[in-house]
Amino acid sequence: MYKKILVGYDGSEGSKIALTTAAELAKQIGAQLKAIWIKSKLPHYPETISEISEEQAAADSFLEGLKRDVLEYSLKYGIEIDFFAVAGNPAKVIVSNAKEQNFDLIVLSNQGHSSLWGTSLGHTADRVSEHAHCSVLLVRESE
Amino acid sequence: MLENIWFVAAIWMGLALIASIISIRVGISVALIEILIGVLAGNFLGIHKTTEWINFLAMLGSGVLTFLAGAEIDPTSLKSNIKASFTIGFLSFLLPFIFIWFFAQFVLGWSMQQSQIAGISLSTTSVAVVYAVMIEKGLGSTPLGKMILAACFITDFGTVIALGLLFADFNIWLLVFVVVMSVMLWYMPRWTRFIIVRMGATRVSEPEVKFILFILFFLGGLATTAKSEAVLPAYLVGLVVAGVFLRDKTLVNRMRSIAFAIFTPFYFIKAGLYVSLTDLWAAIVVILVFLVIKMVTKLIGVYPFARTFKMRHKEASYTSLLMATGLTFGTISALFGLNNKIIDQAQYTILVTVVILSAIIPTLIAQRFFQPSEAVMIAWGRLFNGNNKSASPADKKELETEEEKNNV
Repeated sequence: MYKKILVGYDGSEGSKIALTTAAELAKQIGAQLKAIWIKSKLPHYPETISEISEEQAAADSFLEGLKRDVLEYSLKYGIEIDFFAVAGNPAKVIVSNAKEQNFDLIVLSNQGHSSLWGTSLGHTADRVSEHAHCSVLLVRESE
Repeated sequence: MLENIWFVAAIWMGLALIASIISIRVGISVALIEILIGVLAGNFLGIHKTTEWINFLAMLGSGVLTFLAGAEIDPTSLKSNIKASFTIGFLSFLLPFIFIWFFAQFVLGWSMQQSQIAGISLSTTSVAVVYAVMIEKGLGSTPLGKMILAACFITDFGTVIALGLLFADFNIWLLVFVVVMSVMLWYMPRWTRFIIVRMGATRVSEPEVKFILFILFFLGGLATTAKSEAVLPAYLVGLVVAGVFLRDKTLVNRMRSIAFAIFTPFYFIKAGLYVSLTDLWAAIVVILVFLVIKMVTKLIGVYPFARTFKMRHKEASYTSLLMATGLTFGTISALFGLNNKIIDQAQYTILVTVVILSAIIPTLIAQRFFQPSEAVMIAWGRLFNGNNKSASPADKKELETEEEKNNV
């Protein structure tokens, strides 16, 4: 059975359901659980330094909120959930981190904050399931 | 319909909105996307002219942007490696300015003033672009990173001085402008601090923002009366209040928000509007030659001194390439030339295209081939300031290890 589970979490409703599913599963089977947030890269070729520093401050503040969320889930389910943030292309980062850290299950929502762009995270989930070295569990929001 | 000011404003703000959305999506600064949207609007949407009020908002955009560029420098960083940053920054301005000026005048046959505009536009660098490149790898706060940022500031300072003085009328108004500006610059830090402390923290009527804008507009008025350029006082005002702004980030963030929402979209879209794709294609060779000259002259100016200042080949190359970037002041200088009918649209197209390419190409090469590690950039500070002899064995070991890695 699964020993290490990686769940994508961005604070969206969909990702909360994914985190709930992952936490329940991890508790049931005694697996190690890690949550990952893929943050946007800072804008390239800015006109002012404050463009970068403000983006960074906003991202840091958002990250703190996510950390609190994950801690709440950790306390609620009585399991340890590590949390880390990485910048880059979501699908690439998830696939490479899953492989490097030997995860054997990736849990993702079919929709996250990127839904403004259609089913962007859905596309991410597609790409992850296509390229991941391990199993991928796609959690639907309606669940 | 297009005579209705509301519809015209809606079209421009709509273009700015599209640029913002694209910028968020692709992770490229909104300014660059606004310029590109302006290029598309000018070449394909039939938007060829601007109105008085658009020009006014665009002018405010460039003024506030220049002010922010001056205000964002860290005075402590500027002082800490002043010898290295001044030498590198000054040569990074001087060599490209002279080479490009002479190339445009004696090879391309441009007039002297047109060639000087070319020299100024392409001698610039971009503190913000360089900062963004370094911050990605956490290099912005290292001693070498700070030295490079300070050097970029010196280069842009040279550009602003050249733009402010080369085309000015040397008459009584210039004297009045210089005297009044000097007095105001002297008092600006204490005035700004006073207004922030006494009123800024508690008043929603934003007196501190209005105070800064008042000073910028007044000195801009004096500068243009003297046939100088409003970016000169804007940059200098930014510089003298930088220390105050460093402690109070709220004001700088508020000014950036105001500028980016209302002023700079008009400036950047306008900057792109006058780029003619037909002229661009016709002058593609000249554009590439200008880009190569900019990069090579930056290399000639910066690399040897970077080596003298204890940098190895990799860091010296990285520094030279970052000094070859450009964006804000390049477009401001080119647009100044076009607005004042010093250069024509074809020349403007050439200069702005080279400026945009110089924001991208040198940074890509620097990151791909010459990216130093954070440890090395920190070690450089101890090595340089310790004048090598007193550098710790750990620093030397760090550099040696890095050298071995490179050789492998």
